[in-house]
Amino acid sequence: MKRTIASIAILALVAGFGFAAPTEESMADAGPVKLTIGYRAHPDDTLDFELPWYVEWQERTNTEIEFIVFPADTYEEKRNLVLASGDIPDIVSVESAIANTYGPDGLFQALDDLALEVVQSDMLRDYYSDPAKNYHHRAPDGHLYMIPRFNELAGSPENGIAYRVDVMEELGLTEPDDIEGWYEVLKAVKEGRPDLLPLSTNAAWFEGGYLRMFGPSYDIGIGLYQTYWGFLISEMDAGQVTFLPGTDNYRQLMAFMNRLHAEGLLDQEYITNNYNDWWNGKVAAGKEFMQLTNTWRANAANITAENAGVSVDYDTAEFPVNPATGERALTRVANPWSDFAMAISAESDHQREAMALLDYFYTDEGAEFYVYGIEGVSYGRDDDGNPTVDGWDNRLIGTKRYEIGYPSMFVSPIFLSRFLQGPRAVLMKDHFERTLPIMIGYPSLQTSGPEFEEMTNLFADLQTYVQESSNKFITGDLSIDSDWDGYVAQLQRLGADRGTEIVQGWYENYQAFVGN
Amino acid sequence: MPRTTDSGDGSMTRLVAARPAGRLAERLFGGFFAEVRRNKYLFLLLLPAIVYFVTFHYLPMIGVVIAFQKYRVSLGFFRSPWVGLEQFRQFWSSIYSFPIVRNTFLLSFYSLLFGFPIPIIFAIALNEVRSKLHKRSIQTVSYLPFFISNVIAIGIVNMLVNPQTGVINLILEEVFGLAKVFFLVEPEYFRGIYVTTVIWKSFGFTAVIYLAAIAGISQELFEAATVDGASKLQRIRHVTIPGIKNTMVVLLLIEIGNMMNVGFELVYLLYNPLTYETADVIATYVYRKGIAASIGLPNLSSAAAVGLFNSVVNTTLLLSANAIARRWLGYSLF
Repeated sequence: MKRTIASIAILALVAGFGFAAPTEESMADAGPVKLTIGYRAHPDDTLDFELPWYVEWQERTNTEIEFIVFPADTYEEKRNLVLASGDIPDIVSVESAIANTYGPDGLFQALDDLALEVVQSDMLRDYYSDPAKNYHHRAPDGHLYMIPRFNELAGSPENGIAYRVDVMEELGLTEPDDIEGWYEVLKAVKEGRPDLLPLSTNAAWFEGGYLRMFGPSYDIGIGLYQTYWGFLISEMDAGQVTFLPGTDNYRQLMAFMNRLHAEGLLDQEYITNNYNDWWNGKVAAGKEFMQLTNTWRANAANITAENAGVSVDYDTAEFPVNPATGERALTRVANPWSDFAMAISAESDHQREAMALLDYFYTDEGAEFYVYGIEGVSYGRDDDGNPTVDGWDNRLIGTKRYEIGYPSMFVSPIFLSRFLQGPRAVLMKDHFERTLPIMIGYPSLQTSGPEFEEMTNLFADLQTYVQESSNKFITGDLSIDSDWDGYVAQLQRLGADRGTEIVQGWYENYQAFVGN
Repeated sequence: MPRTTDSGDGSMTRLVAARPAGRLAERLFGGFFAEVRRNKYLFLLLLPAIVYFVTFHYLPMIGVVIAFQKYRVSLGFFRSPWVGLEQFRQFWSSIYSFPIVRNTFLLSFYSLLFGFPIPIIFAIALNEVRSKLHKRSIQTVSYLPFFISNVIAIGIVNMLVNPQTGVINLILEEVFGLAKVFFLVEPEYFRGIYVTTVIWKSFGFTAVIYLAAIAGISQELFEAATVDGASKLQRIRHVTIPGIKNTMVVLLLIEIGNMMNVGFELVYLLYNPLTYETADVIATYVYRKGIAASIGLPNLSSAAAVGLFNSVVNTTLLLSANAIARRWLGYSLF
């Protein structure tokens, strides 16, 4: 009898206290969960984790977070070394290539089942349950190992041309429609304001900058360039894959950039400008007219210059009209479920909490917190209940959320169209609504698999050669007329053809998946 | 325990004592242990250095195994597939293998050729300065750059050669009426800028070693030479230089042993795609391909294979130079 009573008592204790599923209340009672995050930082980030945004985030999610920062300029190196050390943070910044190679090996947790158990947001639930949305993120073993960043900007006109309106007005110039019009504007600026650099950038952004700003005029899209190592699916209907840096379009772009360089319209120090020297010594000092960057920078440039006591008025222009199509070019055609992501360590003791922490940003409340910060501190509300921010103008970026510690590169839905404000926001919403079906439907290839490592090896030398040669074409050290054929032949020797074959295979897999 | 042995001619046997294992160890290491016992405090001082080298230089050598694998951080040493010499074959089939080995060798060679005699000349000249104030001031100023970080050093170089505001371009333009030169984007200037920077950063500190060696030369030799009527140059030639010859040999051998270890940071901070043809070296290539791959996977095996090749070349150079020094100069590192 005693034995029976004792057994019942033990069972009751175990059932009551030992194996009860944790509720929100019990978790809150247990105090904050400690998590480590290996975080890819952006140059704009404050990296001050004592600031209110971070404090608020941890309070809302009942967590205590230790950040391991991977600085923007050495991100890959630092992240790779942390992964190699075997001491993986609970949550770590990755790209799909890393997640889908190391995940099946046991470094990261497969998230399919966990996500469907834990996530509260419609966005992530939709992502994990719809194979069409996550096809490009599936690992060779069929699992999903990442929580991707949802990036509406992937198809937005926010990536436009940043230039100084004050100089245009001073010289009586108007915003042109096409790329040749911009060339004439740069010439006029050089003549009318010889004290200014007509077009400048820093070395790290140069390649992305000219591809993003001028590439669309030559049917070149940066989104594809980054995603598939420059392999461009140029004729979707025919399913032809080509290597972008070997195309005639790229040759035309090089010729245009060479013209800018030869005529002194491009900052001759473009390749040696580091970010700080360029930003503080040229942009904020009011020494340039146009920059190879994006519209976010336009507003940031105004703020930095104002703080330095210099008067500039940067604004943004739409993409130039593509002469071939007569339409404004669309760049960054990419799936908004991007390749930038977070993965959860397979060794983490808090996988559910880690998943819930990230999922918070995809809920309505969390997304608003991510985009705007803290109500009453960095934003307010209008009579209709919509968030309002003083000083944001119409450019969608303000200083207040940075003042409270806003992180730029965290995994999150950024700039959800329903949160946008101002005239440009209206334009973006309209644009986004029109292009979203295209972006979702655009081939998002599954790039992992046995050929992935081969591609990585091929690309190492290809990338070096393309970078080296492109810069020489631009500066005139290589002649576009007499050296181009040799350059293309060398691309083939370096494996561009083999790469094309591999990407063609991935594209055909995608076509089979969608039933074509 | 005694045991019987055959004497060899079969006519007799003799008894010998079996040598206990402990005795063998004592014969082999007894001298060493006795030495340790005698100089225990000196060995205690040596201990941190031994721990340092074992921890950071010998134990990590186990990791060289990844040069022969297709290593993935997620699989570790034991599960990553073995690929033999594949990584080496891939490196040597790259169009960049020859240029980066050539650049690495040439940057080191020029640094050694121009950088080796300068601290010797500087130390000898400084030794002849009679004013202690001047001597110490010059010495301090000359070795200060050694303690400046590479990032700051390159910042100074950038300022000096800047096409808009750099002193060098201002002199070229204002004094000589020449056109501005974009030194950092012209491949033909890279080696000169690199070697100059290396010498500027290191010569003062190296000179301190030579000054210490000169200070160790007996003053009686200088006095005797003076009495014999030797001029200042003759004293330098016949007393100072022979007096620091061994130091010169040691430093030269160390330099040769590091021949293929071009300073990664300096090159990385100075180079750009326009100067790759003269600036890209083994360390930067390995860094781009192996550790900081911006797209795809880091190829740590490839980095390890190239690093191993580098070390083999360095070791070969060091052993050869050591043998030559021993034969010709009668002095060597080992």
